[in-house]
Amino acid sequence: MKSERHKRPDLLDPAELDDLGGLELIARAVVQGFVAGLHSSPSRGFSAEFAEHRAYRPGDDLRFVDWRMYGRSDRFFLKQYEEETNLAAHICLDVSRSMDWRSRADGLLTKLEYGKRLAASLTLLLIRQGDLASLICFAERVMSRLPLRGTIAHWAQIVRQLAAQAPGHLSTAGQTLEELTRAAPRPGMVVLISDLLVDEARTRRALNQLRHQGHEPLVFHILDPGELELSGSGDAVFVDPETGDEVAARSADLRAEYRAAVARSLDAWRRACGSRSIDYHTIATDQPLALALGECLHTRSRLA
Amino acid sequence: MIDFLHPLLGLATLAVAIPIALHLMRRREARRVSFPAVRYLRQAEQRHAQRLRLRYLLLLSARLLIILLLAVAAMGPLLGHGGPTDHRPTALAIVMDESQSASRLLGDRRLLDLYAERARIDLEQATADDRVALFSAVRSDEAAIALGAAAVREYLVSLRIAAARADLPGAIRQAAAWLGSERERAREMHVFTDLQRVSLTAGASGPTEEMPEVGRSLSVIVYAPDVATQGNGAAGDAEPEVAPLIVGLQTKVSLPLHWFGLEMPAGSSLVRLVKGDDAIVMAEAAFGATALLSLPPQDSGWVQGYVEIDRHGLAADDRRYFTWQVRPAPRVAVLGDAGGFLTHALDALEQGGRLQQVEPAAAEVWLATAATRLEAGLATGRSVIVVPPADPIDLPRLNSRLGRARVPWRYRSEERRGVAHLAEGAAVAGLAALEFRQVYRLIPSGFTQDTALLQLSGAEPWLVRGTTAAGAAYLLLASPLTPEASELPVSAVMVPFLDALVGDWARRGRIGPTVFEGLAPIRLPARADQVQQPDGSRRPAEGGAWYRAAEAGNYAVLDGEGRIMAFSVNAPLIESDLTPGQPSELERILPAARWSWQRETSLAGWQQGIFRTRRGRPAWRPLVVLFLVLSIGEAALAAAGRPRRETKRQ
Repeated sequence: MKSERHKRPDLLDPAELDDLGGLELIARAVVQGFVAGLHSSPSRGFSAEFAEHRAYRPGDDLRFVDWRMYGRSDRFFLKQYEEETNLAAHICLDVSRSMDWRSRADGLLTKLEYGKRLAASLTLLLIRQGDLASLICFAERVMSRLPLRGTIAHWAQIVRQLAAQAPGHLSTAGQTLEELTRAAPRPGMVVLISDLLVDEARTRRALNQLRHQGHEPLVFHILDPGELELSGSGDAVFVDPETGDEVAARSADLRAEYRAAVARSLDAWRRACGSRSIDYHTIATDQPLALALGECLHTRSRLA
Repeated sequence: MIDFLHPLLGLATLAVAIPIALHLMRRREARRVSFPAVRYLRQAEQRHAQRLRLRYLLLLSARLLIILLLAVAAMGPLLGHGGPTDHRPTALAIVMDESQSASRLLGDRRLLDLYAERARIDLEQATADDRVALFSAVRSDEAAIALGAAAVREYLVSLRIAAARADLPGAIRQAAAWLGSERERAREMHVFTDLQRVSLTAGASGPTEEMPEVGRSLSVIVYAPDVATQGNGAAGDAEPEVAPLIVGLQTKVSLPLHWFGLEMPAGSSLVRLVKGDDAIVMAEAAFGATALLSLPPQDSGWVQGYVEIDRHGLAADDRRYFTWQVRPAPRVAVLGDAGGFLTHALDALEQGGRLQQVEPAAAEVWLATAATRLEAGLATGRSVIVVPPADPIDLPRLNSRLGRARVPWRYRSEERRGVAHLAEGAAVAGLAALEFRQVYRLIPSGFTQDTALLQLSGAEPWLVRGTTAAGAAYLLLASPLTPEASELPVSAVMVPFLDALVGDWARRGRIGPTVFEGLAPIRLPARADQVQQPDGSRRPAEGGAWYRAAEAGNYAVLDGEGRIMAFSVNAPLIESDLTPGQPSELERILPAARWSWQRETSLAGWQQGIFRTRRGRPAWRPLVVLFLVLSIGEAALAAAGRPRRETKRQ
C-alpha cells in the first residue's frame, strides 16, 4: 500500500508534489495516478458505451445509424449511448485574499495553491472524459473566466490562467454563482472551490438557485489545518486579511470555543447543502487531491 | 486603628503599577497574526469574553493585592491599640522644675517626688528606639542636663531641690530646640512644674523670645498638680551691719522677714540664729519688718550657720544660710598728708576697733595720699590704697610711680562739666547720692583683668582694685578725698566707706561675697581640691575653676590641709512667691497654635496620655493567611487559563 502511495501522486500530500514541476505537470500526474487507481475505466459510461436503440427521426446524424439493424429489420435505428452529450462543468475557484493563506510555511500549501491544483486536476479529469469545462476565478468580482471547452488545448489554457491568477481581495461567491445562474442556463456541474469565508446566506441562496435550475453543485470547502484547530498559546491579535477585522485573544483561552465555532459553521454548511442535495465536502490542504477527485467523479457519475 | 512601623516603605505600593503596566504592555505588544477565520474567532471570543474578562480582572486583582500585601507587610502594620511601649520611636524631652517651690507637699509627698515618679513612668514606657533628654528649669542656660534614658534615670535618683531661680520658658525653649533636631521621631515634651507664676514669667531669662520652630506638631503634656496656694512667709538674707566681721567685736545682724500673698499674720515670728547646732541668738519680729540680732564676738575664721523663722507656708524658705568671714582689725598706715577729714574718720574707726593705725613698716594696708613708695609697699606684699592728689600737676609723678610699681592704670586729668555721681548699687549705702566735683579718668595702660569696685553713673571706673603677681592688692580712687573734690569727706558715708575700703576691699586674700543664689558661678581658690557639701559629703573640685552649687546650705572649700574658703547658697527670695500662674501665661509659653498641649494630673491619666503615638501589635498573622489565600487563588486562576494538555489525537 505504501509503495502504491508512492507511485500515485494523487494520494500524496499535495505539498509534496512540488518536485514534479509546474501546475500542469502536477495536474497531469495527479489525474494520471487517480485514473490508474480506478479498477475500471472512467470512460465506461460515456460516449463509447452503448445504451439502447431508438427509431430514426429526420435530422438525426447518420453516423449513429445502426446499419446492422437496418440489414436485419430494414428499419433505421439509431445507436444510442449512455451519454449523448458532453457534461458542462463550471469550476468556480475562490481567489480571494483569505484563500492565499496557510498556517505554516513548511509542508503546507496555501488554500489558493491547493484550490488551483484541485481545479487543474478536476478540469483535466473532466476533459479527458469528454466533458466541457469552464473556469471562473472570483474574488470581489469575477477576476477571470474561461468558457466551456472540451479540448486539451483548452485545459492548457485553464492551467495557464490558474498559474497566472493573483489573489484578489474580498470573496463574493454568492454574486459569482448568481451570475453563473444567469449565464449558464444549461444544467451542468458547478464546482465551487472556496474556503467559504463568504457571505454565507447569499452563497447558500445562490447554490439553491443553481440546484433549482437543474445544476449539480459540488462544494469543496477548503480548510487549512490551522483553521480547524487554533494553534499556539500566547496572546495575539488576529487580523482578517480581507476585512482587517481584528480580534485580540489568547489562543489557549479560545481554543475550545473556536473549535466549537468551526464545527458549528461546518455543520451549518453541511446541513444547508444536504437539505438541497448539494454535494458538500470539506477538504483540508494537507489531504491528497484524490479525495476531491473521487468526490467529483462520484457527483459526475450521478449526473450521467 | 492601624499604624506602621516603617511607613516610608509604603512607597513600595507603587509597585502595583508593575502588573498593570505589564498587563497593558502585553496587550499592546501582542504579536499580530494574519488569520482568515477571524469570524470563527470572533464568535468564540464573544462567547468567551465575559468569562475571560472576569478571569483577567480576578487575576489582575489578585496580583495587585499580593503586591499591596507585600508592601503593607514591609511597612510593618500594627493593628489595634497596643500597650504603653507600643509607640512610634519618640524623642522625649523632660522639662523638670526642681526649684524651691517643688518642695511643697501634696498630701505627704513632695511635688519633686511626684515629678520624679512620673518621669520614671516615662522611662519605663520608653523603648530602645526612643531618645530621652532632661532639661532643668533652674539650668535654662544649659542644653540637656541628661541625655539618654540611663543618664536621665541616674539624674532622677539624685534629684534635689535647687536653690535657684526657675526659668520655665528658657528650659522649654532648650527642649524645643532639641526636639526640633529630632526630625525622624515623634516628639513629646513632658513638663513637670507647679505652674508658679514667677517661673512662668520670662523675667528670669530676659525678654520673652519666640519658641523655636519645631517643624511638625509637638505634643506637650504638663504635669502640674493642684496645690493649695496660701500666703508664704520667708526669711531674707541675714546681713551683718558691717563686713567683714572683726575678731572680738559684737556685730548687729539684720534679718528681714518677708510675706508673700494675702492675709499676712498679725503676730510676730520667732527668729533664731543657729551656729553649728546651737541657737546662739533669738529675737522676735513681724513679717514685713527686719529683726536685729546681736551676734556675739567671734573668733577669727569662718562663721557658718543659718537663721530661721517659724514655719509659714513653704518650709524651705524659712531658713537662710550664712557664711561670714571674721578677721582681725587691719593695720593701716597713712603715707603723706591725710587731711583732717580722713584723719578723723580713721580715728573713729580705730576707736570702734575696726582698724589699728600703725607705722608704715608694721602696716598691712598703706593709704597713700602722696605718690611715694608705692612700689615698695606692693613689693613687700602690702595693700596700697592710692588717693590721687588734689593738684593735677602731681599726676605725672603719680603715674610714674604706678608704672614703676607695674600697676596697669594711669590717671588723666580731664575737664569735666558739672558734677559726677557714683552708679546706684554701690556696696556702701549712700555713696550714690554724693556729688563728685573732681574726678580723674582712670585709663588702663595695658591688658588688665582688674575690677572696678565702684563706677560713675556713666560706667566710668571710680574705684579700681587689682592685685600684683605677688598677690598684693592695690586700690585706685578716681577722686581726692578732699571737701573740694567731693561731698564724701564731709558726709556720714565717709566712715563706712573707709571701713569697707581698708577693712574689706584692700585686704589681701579678700574673698568677696560669701552668700550666693543656687547655681551662681563661684570662683574657687587656686588651691582648692574639694568642696564639702551641706550634708557633709565632699566632692572633688578643680582649683581656680568656676563652681556651681545647686542645693541650699553651707559649703566649705578645702585644700589638702583644711578649709580655705566657705560660702552659703540660698534660693532667690522671689522663689518664695508661690502665686500660681494663669493658663494664659502658660499658653504664652507654649504656642498653642503650633503645639498641642494638655495638663494631666492623675497617675492613670498620665500613664494613658504619654507617648501618644501608640501603635497596635504587629499584624503579620492575618497578613500571612491573606497572602496564602491570595497566592492559592492566583495560582488556581492562572492554571485555569493555561491550555489543557490535549489528548492524543486518534
